[in-house]
Amino acid sequence: MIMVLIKKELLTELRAKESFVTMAAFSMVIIVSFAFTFISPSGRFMEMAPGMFWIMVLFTSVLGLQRSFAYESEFDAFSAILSAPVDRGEIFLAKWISGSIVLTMVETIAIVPFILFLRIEIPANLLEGIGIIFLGNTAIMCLGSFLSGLAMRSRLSNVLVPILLFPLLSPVIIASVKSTTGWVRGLPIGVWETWVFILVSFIVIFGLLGYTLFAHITEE
Amino acid sequence: MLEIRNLKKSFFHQPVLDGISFSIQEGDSVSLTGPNGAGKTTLLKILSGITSKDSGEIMQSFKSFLYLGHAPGIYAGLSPVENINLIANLHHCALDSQRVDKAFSDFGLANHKYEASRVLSQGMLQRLKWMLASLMDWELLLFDEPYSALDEEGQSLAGTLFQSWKGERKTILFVDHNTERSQKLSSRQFILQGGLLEEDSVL
Repeated sequence: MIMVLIKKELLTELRAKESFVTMAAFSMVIIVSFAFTFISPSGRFMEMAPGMFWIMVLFTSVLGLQRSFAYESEFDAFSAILSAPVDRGEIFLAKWISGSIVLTMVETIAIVPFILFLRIEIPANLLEGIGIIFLGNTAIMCLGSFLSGLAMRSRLSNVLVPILLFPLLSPVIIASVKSTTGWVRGLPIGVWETWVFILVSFIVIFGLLGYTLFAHITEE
Repeated sequence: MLEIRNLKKSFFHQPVLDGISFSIQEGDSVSLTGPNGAGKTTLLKILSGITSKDSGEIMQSFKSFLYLGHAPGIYAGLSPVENINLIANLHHCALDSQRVDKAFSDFGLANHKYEASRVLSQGMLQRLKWMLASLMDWELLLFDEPYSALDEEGQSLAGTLFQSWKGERKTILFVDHNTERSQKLSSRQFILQGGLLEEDSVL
């Protein structure tokens, strides 16, 4: 059943392209702004790159999350899902997984101008970097999907999502930036593994909370 | 069998359903009428699991049900055929593609099969709901205002379908504001008013 829901999420999103295009365009604007703001004689941004990257991801993901449940409200489509014999935890998982996929697609597009505009040297151990980005995306979308579901029925959902999301995601952003910094500096994983454990713990805790509580937060 | 005992629901401390009780037997077609704000939609939403109840008991022996609400209840960005397949999948119902094609023709939606549902008129969206009900396997149908926005041809199609369901002794609970029509279609009629189920007359 979860595959049916994920397919629906991706089809809805990729058909409308609203979130995807907005997120990709917004990430480009941030990259260009950073490139012009932090221009320096050395022309290198390696020290600042992890922070810039995760700020870009954070703001970009909020745009996607705000649209995530808007599709459900239009035509009251969510009633079709809620009245079907579907575990509501699976609805949360589908939102989470599809949101992470869309965010990864946007990052895949944004990473090229990010490297070119900010003249970033690609660090060794690419797999470590991919792993950190995967964990960061997963953590952001986990909490984001939960909060978007929570705010869906509120008149102020567009405002409520970022207000709740930004402070609650602080540990994720800090852990992601610290892990990425360790990776780009070429430090051994033992030095920054604590931050990775924080990311994993966050995903496990909020993943379980979301799966368990989603039935209650979607009730009218 | 569907049995409701002392069902209560309030919104913002305003009771909408104030302890209603009733039962529906298999094969009943039951119309639910009442003024606006009487709680008809709320009752259907509680029975379908969308809205939670405050208290009371709901006991039912139906293996499957289909809820069709007042709103289209489909994804505006997906085509009608994608929506039909999605909802069928969610209900673990395998649809034969030839039967689906025939249904699209019968309901006059063949030319709109692959368009985004967003561009369909209210009447077409209503026909889509009837088509969905005709394609799916269900033992209990909860239908909120089934005749809303339908033109004469649509009403005729719907009427034929409704009579065939009655002939098959399928169980239907529907909301309709047209008393004359609901009396014709239903075997029993409930009237909700002031949060109470005021009348249950065997027609």
